[in-house]
Formats: sequence, C-alpha cells, structure tokens
Amino acid sequence: MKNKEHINKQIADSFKVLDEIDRVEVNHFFKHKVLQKIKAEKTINKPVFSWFTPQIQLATLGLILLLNVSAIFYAYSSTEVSVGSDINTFAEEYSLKTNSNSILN
Amino acid sequence: MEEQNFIEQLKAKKQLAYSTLLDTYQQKVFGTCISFIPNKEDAEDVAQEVFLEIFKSISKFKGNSKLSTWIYKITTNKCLEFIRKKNTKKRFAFMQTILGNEIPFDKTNYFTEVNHPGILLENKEKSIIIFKAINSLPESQKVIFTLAKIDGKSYQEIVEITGKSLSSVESIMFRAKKGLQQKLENFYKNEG
Repeated sequence: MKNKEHINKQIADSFKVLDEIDRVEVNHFFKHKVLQKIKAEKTINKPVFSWFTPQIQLATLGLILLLNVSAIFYAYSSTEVSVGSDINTFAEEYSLKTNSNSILN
Repeated sequence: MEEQNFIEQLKAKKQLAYSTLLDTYQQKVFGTCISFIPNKEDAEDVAQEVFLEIFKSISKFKGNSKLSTWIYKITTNKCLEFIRKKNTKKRFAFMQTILGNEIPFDKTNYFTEVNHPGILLENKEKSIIIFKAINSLPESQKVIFTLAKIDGKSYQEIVEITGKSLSSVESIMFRAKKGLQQKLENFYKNEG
C-alpha cells in the first residue's frame, strides 16, 4: 500500500516537472542567422525559367496544338484539291482526256 | 487586411517583412520547438528550418487559416519530422550494436540528449523520464499533450493547428494523460 502511494507520488512529481519548466529565451543571434540563411537561399534559388509559369506553359501547349491542328487541316484540304487537278494534268499529259462523248473513244 | 498586406510582402520576399516576422515569431516558434525537442541546440536548428520553410512555401499559403496557425503547423511538422529521423537513427544504431558493429548506443533510448535550460537541475532525472514517456505515446497524443501541457497552448489554438474538433482534442488529451500515467506507473514499479 505504501509502495503504491510512493509510486503515485513519483508519478505526480513527474507531471509537476512539466509545470515547473521555465521559459527559455531564444539565442540573440537567431534572427541574424535566419536572415543570412534566407539571403543565401534567395541567391541560390533563382530558377532560370521562373517566368515560365504553369499558366504560360498551358497557353504555349495550347498554341502548339492549335498550330498542329491547323497545319493538318491545311494539308488535308490542299491535298484534296491537288489530287483532282493532278488527275486532270496527268490525263492531258498522256492524251487520255477527250472532249467527245463517243463511246468508241 | 493588415495581415493580408503583410503576407503579400512575405510573398514578395521582402527582407523587412521577414525581419518583422522573426521579431514576432522567433520566440514563439522556438518555444514550440523546445517543447517537442528538449535540447536547446536541436530546437534552434529546427526553428531555423521552420523559418526557411516559411520562406520557401509562403507562395503556397492560401490564407485559409491565420498566418500564426499556418506557422505553428509547419513548426509541429518540422519537430515531428526531426524526432522521426532521430528515432530511426537510434534504431539503426541499435541494430548495428546487435550485429556487432562498434557504434556507441545511447542507453537512454531517447532521440536527443535532454539539455533544456528551463528545467531545474533537481528535476532533470524526472524530466528525462517523463519526456521519454511522452515520446513513446502515439503521434496524435504526443502532439496534443506537448502543445497543451508543455508549450501552454489553449485548446482552441490546438484545434486550429491540428484541424481536429474540440471534442476530439479533449478526448485525445484524456487518453494521452491516461497513457502517460500507465507508462510512468510501469516504469516506477519496475524501478522500485
């Protein structure tokens, strides 16, 4: 019983230690040290492409895609025209083209 | 509005803003750090890391909480990160001793040497025991107990820092106290 009481007292004393902790002042040079580190960080971390923000990246990607799509459209539509004209030229070149409607020709 | 302006200055990486920030928060951040890490040198190193993290991450601060709450969140996370790293190192060192490699192993099995200038010399032994017991609590209990009992934060502040509800904080605090009581009882029983 006495032992139990002793243990309880020790536990209470241990908890009491936490209430008796005094405030510890921060080192006088702490601010100076941190400002120096921040300054160093500023000079180290100046990324070359910092201006290339995600918004600009997205806009650039959109522009590239637009250029590609328009190029494909342009190529496709001009091929159709040229195919038709190419056949006519080819027929003329090899005298395969006729103006008569005769079935014998 | 004034805080918003101050945050903008911090985001613009203005030296004067950081000087003001340090004047306002250096003691508070250090106070929290030394509550988690009872070693002046280690606590100061972590406090420095906190301010560097603020400098690096301020652009991500959306203003959903108060600046002070955000700073205390970073402080708590940095302290836990430090403790986790040190505990891992201790475990590794222990494994090395088992495997026969000659790496000195600190028998206190605590992540750092208790060197807290605010603890009275006659309380040193007891403080080591209770800090060891706190360190062995589950992380959420350790955080809430440390913030409340050692750092002296109010429950409302803890609610804001941890993002838990008041009832949850109270319940975790109750479990932490009970857990500590049990751990200390076992310790003193085995010791006696």
